[in-house]
Amino acid sequence: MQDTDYSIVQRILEGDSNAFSEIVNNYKKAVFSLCYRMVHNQEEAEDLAQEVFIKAYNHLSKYNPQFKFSTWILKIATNTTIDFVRKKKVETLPLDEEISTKQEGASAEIIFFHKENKKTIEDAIKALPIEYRSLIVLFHQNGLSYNEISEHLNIPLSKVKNRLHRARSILKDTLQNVKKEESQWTAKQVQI
Amino acid sequence: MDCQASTNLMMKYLDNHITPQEWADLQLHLMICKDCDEAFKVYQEMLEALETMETPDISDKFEVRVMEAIDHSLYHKKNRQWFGIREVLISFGIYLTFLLAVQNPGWNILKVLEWITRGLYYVSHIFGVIESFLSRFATIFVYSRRLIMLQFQIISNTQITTIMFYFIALAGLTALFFLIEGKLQRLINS
Repeated sequence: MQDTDYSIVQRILEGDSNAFSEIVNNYKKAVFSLCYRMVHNQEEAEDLAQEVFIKAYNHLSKYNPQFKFSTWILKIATNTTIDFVRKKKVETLPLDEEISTKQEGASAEIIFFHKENKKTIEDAIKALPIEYRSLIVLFHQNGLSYNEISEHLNIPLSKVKNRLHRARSILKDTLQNVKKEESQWTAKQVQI
Repeated sequence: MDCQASTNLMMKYLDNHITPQEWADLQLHLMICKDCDEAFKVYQEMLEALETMETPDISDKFEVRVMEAIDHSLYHKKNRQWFGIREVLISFGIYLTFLLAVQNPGWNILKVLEWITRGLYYVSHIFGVIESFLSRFATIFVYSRRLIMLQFQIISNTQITTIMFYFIALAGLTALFFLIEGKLQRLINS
């Protein structure tokens, strides 16, 4: 597919702009998935994915065929999404702050009482600072290696490793708290 | 093994880089440490959830939206269907004007030829400035210009039929247009 992608890029650069639809068709799912996993909003994810493809089209002459096209376009997607989240200034945990191990109040309205772990994990990921969230998404959901992530995000390899471990630790603590609160809540219900 | 080492091994497990010996050591620790065992179970649950998390389908019209948003003219190259014709027509037009002008009985043909030669001579000086600016590609250009100038010099000093002069000058002017255009094109493209 790499040679095919490069030949499509060559055709576009020679004036056949309609050939870009092949690239969109090949990578729209991967780009959209990455954007969605970062922002967890379908409409925003589609807008971001569209912006990614437009940026890729405008900078096609800069694509280096020594690297996979998928790597190149997903790098654009990662950086575009991170910039979007930073500008949006979504409320997340501060980067270096320890999360509190106790949740104040046991109100059923807090979504952390949701019984399905996937939804809980999704919310926990959403609450992570973007610097940690991007690592979780790129490593565990997009299957990139430490080296690839380091190149994607332009950060040192050691930082990738430390932050990823930290992100996992935060998610684990969040899930453990949920389980504790759920068991406490269940125990209270049983007492009633 | 202490809990810190156990946590490090859990990270290696999540990285899918744990060796069989390390896995065995981790299992031993989890059997005796309840906290680490609980943490590891949460990590496993988390990993499974991350890897199987579904994303919604992208809308059907996404591709159409992208294709409508891009600038289709960005990489279009202008087709040079009439390559060379334009230069010939311009040169022919200049000389046709002079040909018609010299039909006027009141005009002195030698005077007209003298003006043309002088005018082209001055023009060639301007080209000389451009030539020095494009000194890297000047070799061919210099000899072409000198050849043309020599032609003008010879023609203006000797008896020669008007038609032959016009044809030679026309050919020289056309060649000059081609050279200049080609060099400027290469300069722009580089």
